[in-house]
Amino acid sequence: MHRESFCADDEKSTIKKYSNMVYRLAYSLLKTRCDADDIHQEVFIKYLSRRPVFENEQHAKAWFIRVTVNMCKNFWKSAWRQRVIALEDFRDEATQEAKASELIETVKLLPQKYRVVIHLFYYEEMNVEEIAQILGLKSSNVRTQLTRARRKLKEMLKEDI
Amino acid sequence: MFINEYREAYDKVLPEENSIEHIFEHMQEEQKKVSAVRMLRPVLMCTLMFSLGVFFVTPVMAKNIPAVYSVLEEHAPSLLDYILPEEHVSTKAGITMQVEAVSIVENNAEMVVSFRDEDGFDYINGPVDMYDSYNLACYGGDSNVGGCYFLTYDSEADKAYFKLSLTSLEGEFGGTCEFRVSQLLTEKSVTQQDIDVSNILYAPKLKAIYASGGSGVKREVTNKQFGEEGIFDPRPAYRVMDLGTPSENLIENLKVTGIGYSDGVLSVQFCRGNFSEADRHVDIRLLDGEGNDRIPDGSVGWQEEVAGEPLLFEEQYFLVEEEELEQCKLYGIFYITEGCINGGWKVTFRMSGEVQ
Repeated sequence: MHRESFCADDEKSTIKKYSNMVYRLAYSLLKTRCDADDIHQEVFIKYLSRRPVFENEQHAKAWFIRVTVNMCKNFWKSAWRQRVIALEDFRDEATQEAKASELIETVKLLPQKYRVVIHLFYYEEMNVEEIAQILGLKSSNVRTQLTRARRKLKEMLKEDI
Repeated sequence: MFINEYREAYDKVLPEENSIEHIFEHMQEEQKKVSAVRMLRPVLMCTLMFSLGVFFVTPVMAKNIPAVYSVLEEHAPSLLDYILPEEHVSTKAGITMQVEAVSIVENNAEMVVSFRDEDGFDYINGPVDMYDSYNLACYGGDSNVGGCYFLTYDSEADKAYFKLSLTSLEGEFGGTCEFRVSQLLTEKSVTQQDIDVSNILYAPKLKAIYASGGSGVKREVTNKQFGEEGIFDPRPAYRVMDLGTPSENLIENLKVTGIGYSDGVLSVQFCRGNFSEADRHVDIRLLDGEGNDRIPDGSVGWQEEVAGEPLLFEEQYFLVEEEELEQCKLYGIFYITEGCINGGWKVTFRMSGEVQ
C-alpha cells in the first residue's frame, strides 16, 4: 500500500543543508555533543512538524539559527533535562571532547551570550546587523558583546583576534 | 588567524552520520501514531457522541417515558439511582422541606413531609398551607392518584407536617415520586362565622363574566359575544350578581359582598382580595330547616381588576325553594394565610412494593 511520504525531497535536502550548521551552533552554545545531539534532533523535528515556508535561503538560515538559539536557551530551564549521564556515556563523551581543539575549549570558557555572537560572526560569517536581527538585539549591543568577547579571548589566547 | 583556526576547528564538529536518519525514523514513528489516531478518531467520536447521548438523553427519557423508566428500574436500578437520585431534603428561601416517612401498604402509600425554619428565619409558627401550589408526580407510574393535606404543627420541634396520600390504580407501585411545592403560605388563620342573610337581594341584577373556574350549578351564557377584535373568547362565560364597582377595601380582605336569590338559587358572592401574595378562601355552608349541613351545589370564580390589582371573586350557589329560605342559615369557614413564601422545594423518593 502506498503511503504518502512524511518528508518531501526538498525538506530532506533542507535538513541536510542546515544539519551541520545547527549542530555546530548547538555545540558552541551547550558545550557537549550529547546535548548538541538532542537540540539538533529537536530543531529538525520542529521543522518537519511546522513545515515553515521559506522565502529564500537567507530566511531559512535565519529561521534555523533563531530556533536553535531559542532551544539552547530553554535547554536548562526544563528540570527533566537535568539528567545524570551514565558512566560509560560520560567516558565516551570525555574522549570525544578531548579531541576538540584547544581553541574551542577556550571559547567554551566564555559566557553563552558571547559564544553566540562569536560563532555567528566568525563561523557563519554574519555581519553585526544580521546577528542583531536574528537574536533580536540592537546592533550596538551585538557590537559591544563582540568587542568584549574578543577582549576576553585575546587575554585567554594571548594573541590578537 | 583566529578566524581560520576557529573555522577549522568547528569544521570538525559534525553530527553523527546517521543523525538525520534518526530524525526521519522518529518522524515516521510519529506519523504512524498520528495515522492510528486519525483512523480511530471516527470511532472515538461516535463513542463520545453515544456516551453523551446516553448521559444527557437517558435521564430525560426515563423521566418522561414510563417504559424507559421501567426498563432501567428492572435492569439498571443503580443507574436509575444515579440519574434520578432520591433527594429527601430541599432547602430554599430559609425553609427546609424534608421527607419524614414513607409507608407503603398494598396499593396505598402515605408520605409525611415536614417544613421547618432554617437558622435565622422565622416563618413556621403554626399551621401553614400550600393550597394548590404543590405537584405530586411519579415517574414510571401514570396510574397513581393522590393528594396532600396539612397534618399538624409541632410547636416543640417547630415543624409543620403534611401528609401525602397516593393510591396506585394498577395495584403495584414502582418508580420515583417527585413532590414539588412552589409556595408555602404561613400565618394561617381559620375562623367560622355566621353570614347575615337579612339583606338578601331578590332577583338581583346580573352581569356576564369570563370565569377562571366553575362547577355544578351556575348561570351559563349561551350567546357569548365576540370580543372587540372579533375573536371568540374560548373561556367559559357565566352570569353572576352585579353588585356595582368593587371597593378598594377588598384588596386585602376576604369578605362576603352580597347574597341574592332568584329562580330557586341562593347566591353568595364574596371577594378573596389580591391573590398574588396571600391566600384567602372560604367554605360556605347552609343549614337548612331540617338541620342538614349542606355544601354548595355549584360555584363560579373570576377575576376583576380593582385599582390596578387583580382581585379574585367567587359565587357559590345553593338550590333552595323560596318557602324554605326563611328557615335557612348560612355560615362560612374563613381561611386566611397572609404570608406567602416562594420556595420551589422539591423532594424525591423511590416507591417500591406490590399488592400482597
